[in-house]
Amino acid sequence: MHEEPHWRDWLRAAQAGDRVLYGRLLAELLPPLRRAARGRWPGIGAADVEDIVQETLLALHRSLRLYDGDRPVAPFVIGIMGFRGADGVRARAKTFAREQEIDGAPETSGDADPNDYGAAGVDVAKMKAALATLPDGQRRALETTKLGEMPLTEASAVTGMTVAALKVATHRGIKSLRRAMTGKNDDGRR
Amino acid sequence: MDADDLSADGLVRRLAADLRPAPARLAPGRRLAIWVAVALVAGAAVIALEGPRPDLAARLAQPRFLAEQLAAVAAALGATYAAFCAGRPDEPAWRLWAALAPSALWLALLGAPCIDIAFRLGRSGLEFSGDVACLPAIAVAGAAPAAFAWAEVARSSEFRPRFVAFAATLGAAAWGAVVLRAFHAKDAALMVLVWQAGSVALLAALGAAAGALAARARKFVAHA
Repeated sequence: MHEEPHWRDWLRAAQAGDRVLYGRLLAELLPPLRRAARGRWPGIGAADVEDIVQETLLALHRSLRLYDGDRPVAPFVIGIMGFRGADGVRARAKTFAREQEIDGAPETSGDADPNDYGAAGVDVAKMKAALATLPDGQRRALETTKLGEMPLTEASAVTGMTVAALKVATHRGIKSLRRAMTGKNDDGRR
Repeated sequence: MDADDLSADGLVRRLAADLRPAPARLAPGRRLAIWVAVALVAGAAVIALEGPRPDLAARLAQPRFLAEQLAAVAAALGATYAAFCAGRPDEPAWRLWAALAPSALWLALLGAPCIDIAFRLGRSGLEFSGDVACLPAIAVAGAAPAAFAWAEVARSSEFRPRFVAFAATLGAAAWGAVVLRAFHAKDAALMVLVWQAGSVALLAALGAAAGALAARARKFVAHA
């Protein structure tokens, strides 16, 4: 990752509370972080790259105090990505290891419940089964925000998750659910 | 700002809006300097309470005893420095393990006389008896620096939590062993290796396990 000379000043400014420069720094970090994630984990899909990049930004946000202003920014951010990305790749591998083929899914239109979901092309039984395989946090986030159609604040109160955590969990839950139901990532790769 | 925007750009906007001033933590070297001050005061207090061993001055004049004590001090400093560095994501792993090298030197210095005696005199030459009091004594002597190190690393436990906990406890326990030998006279070679170094290793392993538990609890709370 190439270090831009102004990153150090911007991250020091962020430690002092400068939201504008912090936002600019994070935005500038996105493309090199995506490239770095693709380079480090070449087998993962675009959705996973986005997950890793977002995890890295969240961890950076929590770890701002750990940055030493005399050091370059790139190794600090890449170091964070190394930890959080590896965690994410491990977690996804675990999730997929738990998945199994669903034998009881209806095979003909007559077996399926002829409701609105059918019209939308959604196999309810398969979706429920896939939902059950998601990690707890993601499943609860989807059940409240998407199936229950609750506003984020209400879902936050019901689940006990913060709004920010709920958003991240929902985002990941949708991706995991898509993968669980189709076996494909966002980029169409298996 | 769209609260439902789950894209990376949306996250950048939310994080920027959420920013609070976050002054940089002290560098590991400075934190180590404070740790040394805490360890010296705590060690002096424990030795004063227990009373220094009667032969302390004579033992300090012996090169082997002095070398073992200096190696234990180096192990304490190296491990604690590794703990303070390990919480930072831009520290390479090799540097952390290099900081633990003095611990290996300390163990080697403690183990060498045991091997030497065993070769010359056989098993009968190795004086050994139960001395479980070493464990609580080291724990008490290392409690204050351990508390300081744990409080410090708890605030930067995002990365390498098990290693950080292991190294922080190892450093404090090694310091406890240094202090112990200043007031505890039972220090035949094998006794020191088994009971004192063994207690340090056990405490460090317990520290690593506690660090792993704390990391799991932290993850659980974050995902609950």
